[in-house]
Amino acid sequence: MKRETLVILGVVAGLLVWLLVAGDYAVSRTNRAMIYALMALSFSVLAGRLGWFSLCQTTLAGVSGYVVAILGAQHGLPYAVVIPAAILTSMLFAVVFGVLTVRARAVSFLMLTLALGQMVWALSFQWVGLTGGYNGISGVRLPMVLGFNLNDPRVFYVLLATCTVLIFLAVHRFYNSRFGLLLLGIQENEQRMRALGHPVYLARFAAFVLAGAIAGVAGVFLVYDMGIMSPSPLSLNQAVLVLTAAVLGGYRTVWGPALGAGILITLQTGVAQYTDRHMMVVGAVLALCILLMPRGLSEFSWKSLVRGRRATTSST
Amino acid sequence: MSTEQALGVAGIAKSFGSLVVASDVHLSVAAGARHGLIGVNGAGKTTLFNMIAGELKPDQGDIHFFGERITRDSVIQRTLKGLGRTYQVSTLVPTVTVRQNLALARGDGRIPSLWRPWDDGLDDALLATADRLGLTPLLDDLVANLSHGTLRQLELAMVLAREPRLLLLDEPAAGLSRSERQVLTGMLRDLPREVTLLMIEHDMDMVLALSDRISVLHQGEVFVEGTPDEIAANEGVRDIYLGRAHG
Repeated sequence: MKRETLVILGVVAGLLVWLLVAGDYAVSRTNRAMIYALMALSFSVLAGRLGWFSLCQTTLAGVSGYVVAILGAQHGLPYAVVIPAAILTSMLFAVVFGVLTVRARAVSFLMLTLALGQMVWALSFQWVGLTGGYNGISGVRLPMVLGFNLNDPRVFYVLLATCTVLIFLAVHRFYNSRFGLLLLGIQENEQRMRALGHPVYLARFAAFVLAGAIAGVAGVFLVYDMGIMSPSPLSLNQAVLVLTAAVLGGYRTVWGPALGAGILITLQTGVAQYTDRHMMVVGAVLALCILLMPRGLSEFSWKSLVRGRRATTSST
Repeated sequence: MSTEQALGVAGIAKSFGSLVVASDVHLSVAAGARHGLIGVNGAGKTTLFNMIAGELKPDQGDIHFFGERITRDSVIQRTLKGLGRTYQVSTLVPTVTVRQNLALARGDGRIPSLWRPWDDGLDDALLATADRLGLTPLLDDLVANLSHGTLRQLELAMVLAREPRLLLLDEPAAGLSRSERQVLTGMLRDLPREVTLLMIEHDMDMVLALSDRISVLHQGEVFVEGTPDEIAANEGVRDIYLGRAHG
């Protein structure tokens, strides 16, 4: 059997075993970790392939969350309409944002996504008529399907884990595709890719919309997991949290974002049980990790650690 | 050799503010020709290449490619029409392998498949071109680890894989060792005449050996054009290269 198949089977088996042994609280924290993994993946698609560090992927997830809350909880539209509409709206926002950012480079891209993200965030608490302001929109629920209550954390876990694994597999496939390779080429040498007949802006735009779709899916799960949609998932805090997860796990690899999100949520959950100052501990651990493993955990090797920090830090 | 014109540059002018880099450049390259473009540093050679390739828009003048006006075409459009170029500095995609760089050589103006693996159907012609340039043993090496000479070979392989009708070579021998230059000269000499070459080069031996026409660019204009023998014998050209004022 191929090594790849073994890894996938291992992950699926691990997720199943976890469902059997973990308590309800641990399962619901795992759900949150998988949602953050999807958002970190959305971030990493742009950061790892294009060198584009986006601070608006959580905003795109939040947009999709609001669509679910407004159309589903407020207007009672069927799920088959609400969920695709939510993901499509995220993609539509990504289209608009993409048009504005497609020519931007590193820092200007970061600043543009920050500005766009903050605009939507401000809108989310100021347009009270649509979003309910700070109070948000509550009562966002999933239905019963075949006698299973999808709102039950364990049932939700099965649904979420399946989607997460499938999306990560699809992104893995995409990273190894011609398009994925072209994005790496564009990151390194835009001018050359154009001279070799590749539509640089179009490719970047497509990647941005694709990342927006992943964020949209994450947003759907996020709002059903929380049961309420408020402006907080669109705040800068959340964008930074997702960035941290991606950098910690390693945004150049496919599974790095999942690893990072898992560790971050575990740290938050674990340390919070012992001290109120848990964010200090989390911060210290992160600083240490990034000093020792600048390329993220998924690209960590003992060799690079032994070879000294110069070699590793210069590669970021 | 046919008398068809591969490239026609008519009255090109370009200024950056008060700096005039091309004042009135006329250049005609016959199909199948090996045309050398020489001149001292700052004569505007690379700027002219950038205008021919579409990376820079001229202020005035027109560019024709096999009879078709391409002055307003984008880089990608010109590439798809059969214009290829190499750069003074061979920066490719250092973070991936030689094979992956080769896979990127044949852009068709569209977004490639998101699903098909990058190495699926990597065609034989592509690998044959790489083989002719001695890249076969290095296919799985990271481009960042290649020597300067090999990097140049790879760049040439990538652009030749596109089977360009006109190839612009910007100092192909720069930074190469003596033996590497000889290999390169032989390689370029062996190229089929379906490929027209326009080449900027400072290595005079190489230019004289390869070209059948040479244009000398000086202060944003074509100072003189002729056969290699005529250029070698030209007093004015010598003055330019020795830094003397020309008459």
